[in-house]
Amino acid sequence: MSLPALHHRKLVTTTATTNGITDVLDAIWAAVQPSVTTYADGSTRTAGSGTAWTWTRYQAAGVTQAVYGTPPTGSLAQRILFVGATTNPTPTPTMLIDTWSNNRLHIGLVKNAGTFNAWNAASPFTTGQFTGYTMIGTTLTSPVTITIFESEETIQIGVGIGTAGGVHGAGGGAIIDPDTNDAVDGESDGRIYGLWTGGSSTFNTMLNNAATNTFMNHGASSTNSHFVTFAPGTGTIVPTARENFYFSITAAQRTTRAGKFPGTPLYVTSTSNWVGRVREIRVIRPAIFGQRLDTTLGTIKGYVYAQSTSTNGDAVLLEY
Amino acid sequence: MSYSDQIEQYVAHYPQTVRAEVPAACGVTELPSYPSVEVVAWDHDFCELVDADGVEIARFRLVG
Repeated sequence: MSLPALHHRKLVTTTATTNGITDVLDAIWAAVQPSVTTYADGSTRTAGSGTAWTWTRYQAAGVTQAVYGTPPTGSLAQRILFVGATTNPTPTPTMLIDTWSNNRLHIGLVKNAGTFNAWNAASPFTTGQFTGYTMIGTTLTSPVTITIFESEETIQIGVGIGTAGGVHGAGGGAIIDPDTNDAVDGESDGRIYGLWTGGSSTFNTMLNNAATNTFMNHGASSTNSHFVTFAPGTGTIVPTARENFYFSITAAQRTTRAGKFPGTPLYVTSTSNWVGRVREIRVIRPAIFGQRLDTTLGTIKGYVYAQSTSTNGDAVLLEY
Repeated sequence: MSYSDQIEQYVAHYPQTVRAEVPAACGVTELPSYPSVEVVAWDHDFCELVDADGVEIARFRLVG
């Protein structure tokens, strides 16, 4: 039995005032703070309802160190955190595969969260299960642009670093539907919660069958892309990877004779089990990051999440 | 990558490590590539590396 369909909404892209991690976190805050009441398509955004997450900024002596989001719905109290610091935090943040790097952007996921404790505590929300933090992208160089897509239960972020047009990506939340009727295949709410990052560099043929800076794939080395999910009902973190590899497909291969663009579901597995279907994200023809795809003019089908902001390349559609 | 391989990857990055505190459930009792690093099991779900002064220098989760 399938879970409710997610609906992705794009927030207006923001640009950090400098390439400093504090300003980058503030650019994330500028994109998602509760006072942002419209999405990029002009539709209404009300924090805590629909697809709009409620975000909180944590500052120490006026310096932003974390921005974390609470979804508008869901029974497993998930939180997604974007964090960073200019000097070594004490205590050392708990990491996922990567080692902590000052002046870099990191992402983490918590389920069954309690009250916010400290972003660098072993349990940032006092209780619950935490993935640890993993890196999004390379050394921050100007301009740094932030594009975030919210859905009812997931977050995807694309970070532009420098002028080359490459995208550094990450995301997480209740991103997997096991698509089975067996309770053991999901959490108590039927979902699988996971976190992914393209790793420490721009996407490199985003949908390739490799762990070198690809989309929703996993490698064990610190510079690789990472994709992990929680084993249902536990804090055990399981390496997860796409089952489908559509890299370097051409526009012609992904266009019907009628001129339409087919979208193919993505399925993911771990080394020990089937995991499920990525919720409302489909492989499409080569496209440019951030593009809006309309079924007919004015009827939004979704937003393109792709490897480049300037040239057509491997792409998926975040369904509207 | 095995649990001990993951821990060793961190120890390689933090050569000042003298002790690794690891989840008891992971079953790791020694680090073959770093025999001088003491491995201690604890009841947390994350690992912690400690230097000679007893200062915690890294924390991380195991995957697998």
